[in-house]
Amino acid sequence: MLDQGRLRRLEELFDAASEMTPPQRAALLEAECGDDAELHSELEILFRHDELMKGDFLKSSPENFPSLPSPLEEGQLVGGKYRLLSVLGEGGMGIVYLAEQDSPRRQVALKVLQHGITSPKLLRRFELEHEALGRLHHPGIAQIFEAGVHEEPRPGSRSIARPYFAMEYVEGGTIASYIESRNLDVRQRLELIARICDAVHYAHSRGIIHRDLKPANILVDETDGVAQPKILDFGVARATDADLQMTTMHTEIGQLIGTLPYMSPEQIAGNPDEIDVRSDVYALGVTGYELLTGELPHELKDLAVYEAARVIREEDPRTLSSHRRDLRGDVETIFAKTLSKDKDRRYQSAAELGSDVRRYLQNEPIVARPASTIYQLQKFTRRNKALVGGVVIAFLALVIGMIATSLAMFEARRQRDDASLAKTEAERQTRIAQSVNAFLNTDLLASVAPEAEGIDVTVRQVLDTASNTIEGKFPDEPQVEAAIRLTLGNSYRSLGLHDRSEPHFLRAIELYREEFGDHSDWTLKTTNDLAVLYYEAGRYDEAEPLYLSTLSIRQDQLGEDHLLTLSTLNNLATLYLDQGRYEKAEPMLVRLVGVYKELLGPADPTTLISINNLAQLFSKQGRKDEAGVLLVEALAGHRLVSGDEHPDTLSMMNNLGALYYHQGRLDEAEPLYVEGLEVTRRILGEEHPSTLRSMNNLAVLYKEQGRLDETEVMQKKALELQKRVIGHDHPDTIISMGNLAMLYKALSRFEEAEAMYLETLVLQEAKLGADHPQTVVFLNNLANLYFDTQRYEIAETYYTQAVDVNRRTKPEGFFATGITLFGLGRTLTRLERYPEAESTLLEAHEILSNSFGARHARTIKTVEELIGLYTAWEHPEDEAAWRSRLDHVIE
Amino acid sequence: MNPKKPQAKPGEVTRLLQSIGEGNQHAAADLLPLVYAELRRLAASRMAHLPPGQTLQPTALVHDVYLELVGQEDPGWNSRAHFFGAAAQAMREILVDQARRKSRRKHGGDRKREVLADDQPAMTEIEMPPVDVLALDEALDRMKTEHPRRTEVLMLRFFAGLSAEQTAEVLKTSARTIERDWQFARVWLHRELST
Repeated sequence: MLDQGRLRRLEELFDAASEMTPPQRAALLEAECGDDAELHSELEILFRHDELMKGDFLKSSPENFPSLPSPLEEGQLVGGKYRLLSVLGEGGMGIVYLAEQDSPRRQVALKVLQHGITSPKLLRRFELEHEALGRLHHPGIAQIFEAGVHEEPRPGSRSIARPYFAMEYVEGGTIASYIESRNLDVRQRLELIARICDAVHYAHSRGIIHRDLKPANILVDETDGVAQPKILDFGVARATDADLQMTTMHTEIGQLIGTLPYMSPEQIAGNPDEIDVRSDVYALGVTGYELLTGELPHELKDLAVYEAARVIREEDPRTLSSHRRDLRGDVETIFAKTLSKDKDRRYQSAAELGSDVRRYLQNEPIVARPASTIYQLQKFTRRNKALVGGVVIAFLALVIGMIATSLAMFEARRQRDDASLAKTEAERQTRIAQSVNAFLNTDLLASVAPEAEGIDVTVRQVLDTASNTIEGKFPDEPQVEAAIRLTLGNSYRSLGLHDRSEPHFLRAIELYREEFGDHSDWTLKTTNDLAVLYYEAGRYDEAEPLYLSTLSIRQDQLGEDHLLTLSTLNNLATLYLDQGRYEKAEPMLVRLVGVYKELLGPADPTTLISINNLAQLFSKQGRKDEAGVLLVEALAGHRLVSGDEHPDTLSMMNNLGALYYHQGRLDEAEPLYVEGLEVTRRILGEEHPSTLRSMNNLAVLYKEQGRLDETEVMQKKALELQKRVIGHDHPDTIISMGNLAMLYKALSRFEEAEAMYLETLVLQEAKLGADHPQTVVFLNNLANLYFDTQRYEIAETYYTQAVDVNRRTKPEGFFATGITLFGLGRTLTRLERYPEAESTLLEAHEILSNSFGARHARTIKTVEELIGLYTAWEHPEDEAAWRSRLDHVIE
Repeated sequence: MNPKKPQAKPGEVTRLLQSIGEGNQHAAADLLPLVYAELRRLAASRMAHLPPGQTLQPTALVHDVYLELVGQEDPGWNSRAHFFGAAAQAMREILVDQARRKSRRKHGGDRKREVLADDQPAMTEIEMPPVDVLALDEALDRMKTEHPRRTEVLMLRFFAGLSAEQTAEVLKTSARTIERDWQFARVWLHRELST
């Protein structure tokens, strides 16, 4: 064994001898090692392995990250004939220089790629492909004069071959800056887009796909007084080899972020065989979309790359009209088709897209329309079988209800105001009612008459038609438009179609504000409904300020105990409940129960709901017994008053089931869950958010009953549907993910459990914050997982974080703090940090025995951990003391 | 007790790195679990979106985590050294975990788990270097006691995927020295792993 001094000597001699020839090396070792035979033989062995190792793994592994070559300098000659003048810009894969060529004498844009070509095979391929590029001659494409390879020697290393392209130098800015500086209108923009399509189609017809179309790659040349778009980099991505691109993709995050939004779903999937001309059609769609609206089809800002990739592959793009309402209709349809996920549904060529744009410009019917809308409707119909048929009636009832309400409000106003005003108002209201009625009959129902559209008339179809026709329909009757929009908003909301609902509410609020002012009944009602929408969509931060402002206005105008004030108060309290802000929710909920009982009587549905809400609070605070009493009361009352199938009855059934579950009364919970799921499914459909929530609950119950196979099937199905229907980061979805993680753990599939928990935590913290009670549950569960798999150091960090949040947000001695302290304490024991483990476990024991009693399983487990600690720590007296306490409890 | 946040946001890591730069040893201890968690998280979400059978490039993951946690701004060479040191160690642990799991699987493992796992599409995972990772792990422990600096170079290049130039940058030494250290470390390991 060599000591440290000789080890250093070994290193020195190795370094010195490593670049020598074998005879030189032998001489050196002979001279330097002297009679230290051990050192000599160590070195000889190492050099033998140096020979053996050639070509082995360690030789080549870090080539994943080729170091970037230094940028070229101005004045330098590239490819023997292009003298660099200045840097024009930094593009996707390299730097673009303005360069001068002698013969023919001209200025060119010279793009030099950053990555060298690493193998002869790649070089050959590059040479073959660039020949094709040189044959592209089109006014809409920046001509490629030549492609070549620049050999760049590097001191002390092998030289690198960097591909370059000499291209036509286009004087002029990008198309986006051109459009902005000229303030082009929609028609002019569409004309430019059509011309871009021509150029792309030309290249496609010669077998060349661009693969990286985006506004930054399109310049506008104005030299002849005509605006000529010129596409840059045609085929460059291909010529430089898709394989090369894929392997370096990770290192070029910056570039990827610029390109990602324009990539088609099949490009993002990373399968080169799937990419064809229709991928360029997609990119043209994104480009056109951005040129028309200044926005991208998908909101990708602030998303991590992999998340953005998922959004592009899975989520529908935002409609054009959500940015610019004047683009509703044909233009929107054209771009929706262009941006289809499925390339078979897109235009099959750039020429088809260009033709449809031109048809629109010439006021001819476009090709795209029928396919897209019917597809949408079919998709919806398939997804909502249970809602099909008969629901038109529900919608009608809503509208009739709305007319009745507006008449009632008018009546109230008449009593308040003076009679002559009331007369004009009466005529006005009658006119509104008639207009609404006419809209319903002629525009809405007639247009979706079963004979016209087939038998599957859905409420969604009715709503979409209404949404499309209402725009500009009532220029002189803002109240009519507002009333209809409010109804549309609420109807979409009840279907869980949050995105479609929101714009109607926003517009209705705007109209009501202009008509009646900020504090009018209608403005407030609509604001409240919008807040409910945000709440249901899990957008809690947006809901809260709306509730607060509505509440304060209503308190001032109507008084504390007015039903409308109370209803807003209830909504706000529920929001706080879901945000985990229990101390804010509690006084509000207690007050609501009291006031409602007095005002409406104990059997009124509203009173029962308030009781249910208070029970939910108690349950979450750990006051399970109090919660149980209240829930049994509320459910019995509601069954009686509203029937077994009423949605509120169902949700109370579900809540009571959940409570029994938490109390470990599984057999009592099961029938409630099963009945709830069955009825919800029948009434609301397989994919309604409530159905999915029920499914999740039943899955959790099955898990607890040990029916793991059933659990997994059901849990995965619920999660998959939730991701699609309410979004991947909706609080319900996150809960399902956490449950699935728990299941994986129960199945000892630790890797899957860990991955799922980590993903869950990220979403949970982003959505509900690090201090949310559910976040702590996930933290604790993940820590348990690490503990169970003996990864104590990581377990400690998560337990510590959980304890920390609990201490900060919960009252002293709260049971959840005890649970997390227990986890932390036993981890510290394993880490042999005994004094810390002792104080932690003692505190856990105190909290848990106060909360649950000395005989509760959690308390007993804590005592067992204490005994284990003292055993490991070799404190026999403490060990014995706790042992006898345990024996005492067990007896 | 000092609160730790294994789920880090970019600013937090930068702060932690600064704190390490100011000599706070506790901060250095906090860095590893945080980088480890981020690596696992990123790998997990990448895997979720990869077709079955594909593998993730370990060194690519490290670089992405760097971009996610530290971002584009250069935190200075000292911070980079700490970051990549932690990242290399974390990647080593992840690969070792994965190798352990695989070897367990090969040896039969829990019967129930096997049956259920077959219902799943094959999990994608991190690409393993073409070497016995468990043996490598042990060898590295030995090498660290005898040749600490060369172990560090090997870790940075092999597990964090830094080039010779980048490693030289991070360790504030010349690329030539790094090349020599790298050469030595590989030869040493080759000997160790062949016996």
